[in-house]
Amino acid sequence: MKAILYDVTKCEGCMKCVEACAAEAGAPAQDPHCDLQRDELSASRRSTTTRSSSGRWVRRHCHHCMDPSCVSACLVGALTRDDRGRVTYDESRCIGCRYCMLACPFGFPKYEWDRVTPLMRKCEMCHDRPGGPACVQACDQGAALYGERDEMLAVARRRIGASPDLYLPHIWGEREMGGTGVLFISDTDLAEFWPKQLGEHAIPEITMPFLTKAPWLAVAVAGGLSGFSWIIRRRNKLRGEGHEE
Amino acid sequence: MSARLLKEILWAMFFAGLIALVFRFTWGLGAVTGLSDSVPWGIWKVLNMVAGVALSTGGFVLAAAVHVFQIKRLRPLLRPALLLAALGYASSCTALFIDIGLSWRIWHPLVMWNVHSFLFEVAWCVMLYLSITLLEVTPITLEESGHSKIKRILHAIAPTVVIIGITLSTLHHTSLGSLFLVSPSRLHPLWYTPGLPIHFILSAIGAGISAVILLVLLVGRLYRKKVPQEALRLAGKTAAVVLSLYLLTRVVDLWRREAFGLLAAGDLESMLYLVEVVLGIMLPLALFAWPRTRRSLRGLGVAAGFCVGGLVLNRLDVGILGYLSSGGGSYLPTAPELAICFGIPAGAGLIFFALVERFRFYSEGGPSAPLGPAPSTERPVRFQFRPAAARLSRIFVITLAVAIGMFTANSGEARSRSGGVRPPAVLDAAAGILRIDGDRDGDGVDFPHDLHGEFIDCRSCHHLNAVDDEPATCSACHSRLHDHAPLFQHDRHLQTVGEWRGFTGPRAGNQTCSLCHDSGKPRAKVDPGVCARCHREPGWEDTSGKEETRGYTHALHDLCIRCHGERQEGTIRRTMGNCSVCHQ
Repeated sequence: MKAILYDVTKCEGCMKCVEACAAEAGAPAQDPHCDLQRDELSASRRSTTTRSSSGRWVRRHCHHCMDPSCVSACLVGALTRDDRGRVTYDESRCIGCRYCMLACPFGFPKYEWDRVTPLMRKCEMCHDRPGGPACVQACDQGAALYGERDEMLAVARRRIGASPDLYLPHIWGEREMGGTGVLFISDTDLAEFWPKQLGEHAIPEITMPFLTKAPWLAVAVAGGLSGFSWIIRRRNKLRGEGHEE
Repeated sequence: MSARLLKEILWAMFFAGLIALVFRFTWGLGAVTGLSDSVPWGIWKVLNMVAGVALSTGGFVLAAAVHVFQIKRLRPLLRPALLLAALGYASSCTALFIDIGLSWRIWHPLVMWNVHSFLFEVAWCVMLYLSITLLEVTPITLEESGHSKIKRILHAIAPTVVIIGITLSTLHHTSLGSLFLVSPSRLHPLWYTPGLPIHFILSAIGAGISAVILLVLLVGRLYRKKVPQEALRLAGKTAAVVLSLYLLTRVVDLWRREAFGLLAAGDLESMLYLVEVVLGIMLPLALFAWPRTRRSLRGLGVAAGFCVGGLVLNRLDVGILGYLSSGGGSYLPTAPELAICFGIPAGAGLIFFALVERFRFYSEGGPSAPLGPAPSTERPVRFQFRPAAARLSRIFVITLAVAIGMFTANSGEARSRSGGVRPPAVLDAAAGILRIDGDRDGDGVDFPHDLHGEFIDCRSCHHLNAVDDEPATCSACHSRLHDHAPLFQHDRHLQTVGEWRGFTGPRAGNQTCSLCHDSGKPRAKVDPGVCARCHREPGWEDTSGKEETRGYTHALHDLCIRCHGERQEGTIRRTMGNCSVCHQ
């Protein structure tokens, strides 16, 4: 189970991670400081660094949820969570229904609207890149760490324990939405970046009970109607016979 | 309205959709639709698919009523309802084919499974149910031909087919509601509720019955056929029962979630919700329930119309409008998008009329037929190919011209977002802060103008030496938001025109002025015709209008970012070139 840990207090917003990400994704050359799109993420800009309301720089890219809504939503299974906890995308399966974009509470999946044969794009935690994510390697401020999720949580706790005056005693992503593969420690509140309606619940936790009821609903409807049909036919038949008599 | 006029209108809509289809597959979704990352689902999915499927429920409802519950009085409505279902589902699948980004992969869900996805369940149920409706409709088209063996087989499996069809319908109508359960944090709380599946199936049944009522009334009127009044009244009564259940679940849902307060918010969402409930549920419910309106065909038609409208609005709310407030995006369907949205049902309508004219879809005929004259006289005059082809080709040419004009105008505008730029507004005169928002879309930058004046030269930004020494605004030359704009270079003319005329000496420039500016006028305006004095003469290259400025957005971004970037080592941090610093 891999995870990225961000120490928000160490980020200065130099954007080297964003540049490295674009280069790794083979996205067209762009000025990482300027994207005219209001929503700063796009198909060619799979990760970004934005200001929080308190002025801190916060990384924005796919959070690689432990129980991802997009994976449960994708009808052809193009999105999967691999054995190391990374949510990856198989573009040869994708039909372009864009349900993942609706399903992600963060709106991280983006679409290649400018292409005639568009695909979905999002951070895949550089799953096929030796040496881990490009953005983490590009960071020379020590604001990003990549490794096993348990270790990252331990590092986070150590840092918070070592300077309790600096950090807030919370690891964002540890339990939010059932836990994510991207963790944050910070000196200011980052709750604004998390969907507050969900709390610690993953979206599939909400939707699965409805889905598992479907087969029973089918059995009930089919069985009930067959029964009804038989009863009514029989009654009609008996009544018909009665008339004849 | 005559059947012929209606069909011609449908043909025009269908042709417009076809032309839009060419646009969609040539330039792609992004260029042709109003969709974006913040609004990924538009009217093709929400109206054609989600609402379209819901309006086709009449098929399974009447099949259940007639075949399972043996309500014989509804029998006259069964055939139109089955045909409506078959065509409705076929239309929805067509829309889905056009809507998905990689249309040729539409078969993927057949072999690539994710049983944890609501959309997977919907895809399979819709696909299977479409096959079922075709099985139900085929025997009707075979009635007058031979094929007795096929007919016997189809007749034998009919009861099973009906029950499978009803089961599939129940599943996918509830699942269509569940589709939106994945967005607890994004769909507006007025609509996001665990009750969505129940709301969806109840509203679909109500509106599905209403759609059948409307259809039967329409066909009866167009072809001057006797309308099965008793069946329609019973259908209206059934719709009233379903609608009252639906209304009850909606109210109980709000009450259980303690969400009544949201209705008092007075925002767009609460208005939409109220319109949907009052005009789309309560009004048709009252009309259907009141015996007097139910007795009149017009009353039934009005009630059914409101019910169908209410369902369409509900699906729009749940699928698109309810998402707008959280996503921060906006969505306006483009002309090609609308053309396809209406073109698909128009095509289905044409097939409907063609089938109704050729087969006994409207009434069952035969001696026990509850309505209409004998089937042989029901048939219209034989279809004549040549006049029809001439008429249709005329419609096609007119549609082609109108459609291409509208589509190109619209898509160009949507993408380049060009347009006039307006100069900044003074936000705070005392502190010298300007609000820079060229297109006044509310997404602008507060620029501390006077603060900049303390550190840098005015000319760094106001690089134009304008007439009267006025500090010209950026928009004076950079007059379009994203596109280049033609430019007149005043100083360059002062120099080149003077040189050409051979003016020399200390006041050479003064002599040049009067060549263009007529003396004696207070502000010495120039008549545009003046340019032609030189630019039309032989030997002068006509460069008028060819000098261009960069678009406003680019010019201003360059100015800020270049300065703040270059002064990295100085007092200004390089990070001031980031979007979020200025765009707050």
